[in-house]
Amino acid sequence: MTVESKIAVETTNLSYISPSGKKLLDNLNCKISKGSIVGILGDSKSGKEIFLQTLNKIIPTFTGGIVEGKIIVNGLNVMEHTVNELAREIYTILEEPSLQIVQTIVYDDVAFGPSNMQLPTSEIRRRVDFALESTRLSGYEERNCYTLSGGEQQRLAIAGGIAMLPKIICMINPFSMLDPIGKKEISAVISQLNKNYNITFLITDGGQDIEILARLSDELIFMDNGKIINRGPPKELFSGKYEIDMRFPEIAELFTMLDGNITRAEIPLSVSEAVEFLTKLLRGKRQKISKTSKEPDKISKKVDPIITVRNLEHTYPGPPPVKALRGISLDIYPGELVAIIGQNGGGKSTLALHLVGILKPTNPEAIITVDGIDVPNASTMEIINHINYVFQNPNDQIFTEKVWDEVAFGLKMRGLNQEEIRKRVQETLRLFGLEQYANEHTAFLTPGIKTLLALASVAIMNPRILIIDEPTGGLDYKEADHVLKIIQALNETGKTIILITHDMRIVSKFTSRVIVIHQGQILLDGSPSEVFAREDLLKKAYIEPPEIAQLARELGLPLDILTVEDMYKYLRGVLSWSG
Amino acid sequence: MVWLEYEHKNTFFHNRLTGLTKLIMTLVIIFMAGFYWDLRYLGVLLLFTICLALLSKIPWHWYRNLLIVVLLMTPASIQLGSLWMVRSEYFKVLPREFTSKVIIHIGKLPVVGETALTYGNAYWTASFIIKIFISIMALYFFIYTTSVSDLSYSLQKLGIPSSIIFLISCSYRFIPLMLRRQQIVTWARSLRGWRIGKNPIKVIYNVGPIFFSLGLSAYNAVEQTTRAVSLKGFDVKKKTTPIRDIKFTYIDYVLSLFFIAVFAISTYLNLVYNIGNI
Repeated sequence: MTVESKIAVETTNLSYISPSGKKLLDNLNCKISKGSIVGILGDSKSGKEIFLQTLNKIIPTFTGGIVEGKIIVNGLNVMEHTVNELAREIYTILEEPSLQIVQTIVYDDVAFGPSNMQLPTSEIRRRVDFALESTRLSGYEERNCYTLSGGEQQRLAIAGGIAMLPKIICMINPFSMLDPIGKKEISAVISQLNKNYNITFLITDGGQDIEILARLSDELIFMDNGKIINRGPPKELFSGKYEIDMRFPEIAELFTMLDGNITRAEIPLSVSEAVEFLTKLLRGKRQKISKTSKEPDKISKKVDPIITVRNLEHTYPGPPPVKALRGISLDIYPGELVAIIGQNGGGKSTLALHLVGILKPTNPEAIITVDGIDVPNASTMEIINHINYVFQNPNDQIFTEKVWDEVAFGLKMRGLNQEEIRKRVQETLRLFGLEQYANEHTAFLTPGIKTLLALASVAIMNPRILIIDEPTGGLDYKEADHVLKIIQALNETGKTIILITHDMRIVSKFTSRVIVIHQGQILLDGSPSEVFAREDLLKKAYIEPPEIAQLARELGLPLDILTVEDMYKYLRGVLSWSG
Repeated sequence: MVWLEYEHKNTFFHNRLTGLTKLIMTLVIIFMAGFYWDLRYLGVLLLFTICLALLSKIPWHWYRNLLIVVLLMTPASIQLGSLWMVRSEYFKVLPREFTSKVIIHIGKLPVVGETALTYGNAYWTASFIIKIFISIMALYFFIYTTSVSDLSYSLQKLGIPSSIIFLISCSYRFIPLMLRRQQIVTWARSLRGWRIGKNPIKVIYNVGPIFFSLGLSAYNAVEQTTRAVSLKGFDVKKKTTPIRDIKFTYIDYVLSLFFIAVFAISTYLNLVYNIGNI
């Protein structure tokens, strides 16, 4: 009689040396129990993604380099099998979903894995239906995969993995491109698959979606420089007893800030736990405090708007035609830092591409005026002196070999003299903290540096307005914070900034105004506190307020409490702590 | 905008025919366009192909791109015709007095010798351009109505090795992927003030970075696709289950046999009786 092992993954002295000779994994010894959900956290240099990719031999099969040590996955010695042989046991969902699509039609793409497993057609159909329903893609069966938005493609990649029902699913930053409700739904799918099919999940994150992982995971592993630094249940790791070089979940951060002033048994990680604790604490002690968040009245609306859009419509040609924008009208004022939010595929990027003249309205009566320029009738050269756009994926934008040349490109195109170019490039590299990378090859930069480079190469052209599409997508929390500080600094120099984002923390912390777009129309437009107060409407656009805003609403506190700092100040005031 | 890729539509060709039937139809049209030079036969074939394209609801911008391709190829075709087809003995069916009549005399060129644009050359050039038109339209019809999985399954039915099917399927989805990428890359460049310019040296200088970027993307896309299919358990040595219940219906049999018969008869008539030649 054989006893089935309870271990899903076991690594012994696992090391990986890249083809360039760098040791990216350093003697990892790790056991992961079957049926558990494990979050693997760390910055972009921690080696967390590399660790997951060694488990099904993507590394070194496709990357080269040397893997040392032993990896056992569900009793199989990984080094003795090929990637496709391991596919029945372990499936990895890579970070860039568009590159994981192997068919043109949604249904076919999800069915591709089960079809390779030679399952009967009826079983393939059952699994595809289940996977599509689980990922909110039912009804998309016949859609062309490449016409899906980034978030929809992410869900498709996940559906492709789910349909194979492997015993272990590895996910590399799976939430990075999803709208808030999408994140919640994918978390629910993970829980459901884990519970019903006992699938083990290994999920990486750079700290951007730590709230989700903290609630979802049975265990968290922190990695740094290819090593495991800490591991344990989330409540223990965020209890404040450990030194963790990582952003804490908002609720945990709030409670660790309150430590010393309150006595608690364990750290709350969810809004409901925090509500339960704080309700008792606040009984009879509520008070009104002054506004804490940035409000739009900082910007004088007496000045003329810098962007005026009236009745903008855009229909992508079919058949059938897709109405992406349905009569958008808005004004944006000089110096504003505006967030455009909404569900994946809701029309945010289409609107942005109209503002820079890449797309033209499909209704002739539409008006788009940017800094006095009639955009639909202006040349690109004229437009980019006033407004520019930083693409979501920096790889779409970077096209020269060296960082210096990339930053200098726009100025060269304008025909500036060499001395002027040299001076401005140096200044921009310094401002963006890119000086040390000036002579590096753009293909080998980390995602965070690529994002900064894409931003720098547009900002150097000095437009008055910058549209930045998902500036923190795929970055770890340190890189994201750095990028956001630079964006804030640009805004402080007087530039009008429009951020397209799914990250509600960014919205609440950095922006003064939020525009919610839903199905090609403006659903809400106001300050973050005004917008986050309309939870009923937000749900329609697959948006969920940040956790602190939810907590404030649940506790009946002022709705302008949006950030951990706001809440801490409020609670300190109410409870008269000296802290 | 979708170009050179399958899109699901509610048409007879999308939903009622298997990929294999459509492949046979397309190959027959392309082969026939290949050996016909007579404008009358090519005209009929062109009309038939246009009907196929319209019935499969190919978007209008595909035709626009086709016209651009044909227009770009026209000068080269004329040049080719005038250089190579100047000798009237090349024409087997058309009367020599017609084919050798000179429209424009070019003169003596090194290697090629005496060159001129004759009525024969003009006829040949017109046929050549129509052939291109028909062939591309037939390919359009096939690409627009046949998904990658349908194509793979059809090739599997024909007994083609999985490794070759994999290569064909990859390129089938790779081209639209790169076209999309090229569009985004071009947008990103134009927003940085990039323009092709008119000076040919500057054109080369300005287009260079696009090729660097696209080359890098192509390399990444190939690597990632190989990685993605491996992750989904694809093995060139193993057969796969058809994703959909693709069954050969009587319509498939009738159409396939009809096209094979038309091909056999027309090839026979062409080889034996010069029908379709000029």
